[in-house]
Amino acid sequence: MADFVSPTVNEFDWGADLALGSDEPIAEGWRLCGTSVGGVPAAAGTAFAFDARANTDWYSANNAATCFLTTAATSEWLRAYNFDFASFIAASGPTIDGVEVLIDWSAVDADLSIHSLFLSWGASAATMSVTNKSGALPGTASRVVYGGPTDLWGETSIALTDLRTSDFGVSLRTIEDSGGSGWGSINSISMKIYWSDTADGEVRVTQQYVEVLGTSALANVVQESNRAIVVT
Amino acid sequence: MALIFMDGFDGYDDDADVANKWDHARTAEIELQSGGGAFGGDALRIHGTYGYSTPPLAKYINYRNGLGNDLFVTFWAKFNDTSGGVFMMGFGSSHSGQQRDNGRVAWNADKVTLYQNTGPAKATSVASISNGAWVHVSIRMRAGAGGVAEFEVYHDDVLMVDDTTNAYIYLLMGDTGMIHFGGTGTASTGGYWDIDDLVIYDDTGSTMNSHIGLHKIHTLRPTANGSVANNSTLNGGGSSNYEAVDDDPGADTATYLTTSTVGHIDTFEFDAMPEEPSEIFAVQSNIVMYEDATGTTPRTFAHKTVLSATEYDSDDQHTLPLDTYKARTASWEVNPDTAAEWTKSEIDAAEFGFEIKQ
Repeated sequence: MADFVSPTVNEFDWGADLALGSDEPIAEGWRLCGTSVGGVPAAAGTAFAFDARANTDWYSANNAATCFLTTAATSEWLRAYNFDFASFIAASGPTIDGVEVLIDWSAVDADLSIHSLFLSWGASAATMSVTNKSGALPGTASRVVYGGPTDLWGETSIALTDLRTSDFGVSLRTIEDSGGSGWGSINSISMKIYWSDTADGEVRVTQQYVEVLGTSALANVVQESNRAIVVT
Repeated sequence: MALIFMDGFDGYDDDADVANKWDHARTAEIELQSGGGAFGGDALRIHGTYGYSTPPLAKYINYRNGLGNDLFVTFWAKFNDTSGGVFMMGFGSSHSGQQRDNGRVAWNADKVTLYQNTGPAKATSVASISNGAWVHVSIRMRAGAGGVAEFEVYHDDVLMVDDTTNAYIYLLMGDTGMIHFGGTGTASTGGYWDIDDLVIYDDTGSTMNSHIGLHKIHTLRPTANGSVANNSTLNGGGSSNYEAVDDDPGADTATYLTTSTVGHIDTFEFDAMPEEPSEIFAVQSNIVMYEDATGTTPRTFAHKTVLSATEYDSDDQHTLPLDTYKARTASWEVNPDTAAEWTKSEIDAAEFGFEIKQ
């Protein structure tokens, strides 16, 4: 089991058709995927299809990813990836038991909901989790955990090769579904992986010392000298 | 000398620690004597009832076909018995019975006596070893014709008693020959003896294939992280990895290192030797560790030393014990960096540690 970790990629990888709303960078590791990029599904587990609507761009503001949605509008995909799980989860042995995603909503209007929230290890329908954690948003700034220690997001299992790739992360979209409009802003997304290692256990070391065998000077030893004297 | 095992008994904190390493027949009759060692450190007290104990030999003494090489068991001893005597050392083929199923060496009424199996005494010394003082004892099991063993017992490097007429090791023994220390074949008489700085070796090495003479074991503890990456995770407090392993085991298992990654290495700097022996025969690394119970494929590890910025692994790679702490050892009789006898300055500069191999 790991603590929550954040994306660590050192470059921005914007969708080709997206425009930045300001000069302030979005936190490293974010990726905004637009419909024109291709390979971004409308929903997991379904055939790939472009969304016919003109989805709303995310842009950076105050070090957050922000998207303003008008009535019935849906955001573009926002994808966080490159969490570097390969550095502390072995390539063989561990079994992934569950995944938690912590989203820090810096601001969100009550009219907004999550349209889609999937685990993703690529940018296609085939590389997104079965389960969609869509649903209402808190309507105010808050940190929300999705998934859990035994939640595989609808997958029978999560392959280590998928988890360890730099593409493993989260893809989400927001939607305005209450007839109004509003802002949705995310400060950060972090992830926690729960796993058990059935192939190799954890090693625990509590002591090490070294012993050196040498000659004795006998200075500290009380000697017993009761030996027989044989007279012949 | 090919070192098989040594123990200075100064790496322990309490009786439970000893049991992490030794296999006691009756735990209540084996006691660590803190401050009661031959050189001021600790010693092991063995009561003279059935309280024998077996060291964790890195390789069993295989004498199914008799003893193939001379075997030496040398230690410091202090006897404290007034009536029934004590057995110092015996051969056995299992840990379920007393250590009387093959040759034994006993101390009784100040004399050293050799026993063959459960039979009567075969030879008794003329000289004596009195109660209450530390003495140096060296027992040589000389490989005789046909694989039988002939006993020689030295007191302070002087031959006390030997017997070349009786076979003290039989061909009927199993593969897993054990060396036991202590115990008697009769009811308790209240006697006990203390043992310190135990060394077991044979004559298959390139040098020192006979008595090593009066010896001393120095125990050194980690004082700082080494120069090689300390990959393991520190648990239970402290700011550096060495602080998790510089203490005694048992009571201080609250601090420990963990890792689940093959290839992780931790090395440490150690105390300087407090004195310079005229000759250094071997260096032994002791690590107390285990693998948690979730693993189905046992992990293995190698002891490691770093000399002149070069890493050297132990020849033997141990499989980690599961669930409970156990001590595992590896030794270098010569400095692997120079292929020559160790020197104090080399040991003072050396780092020791471990690497997870599987």
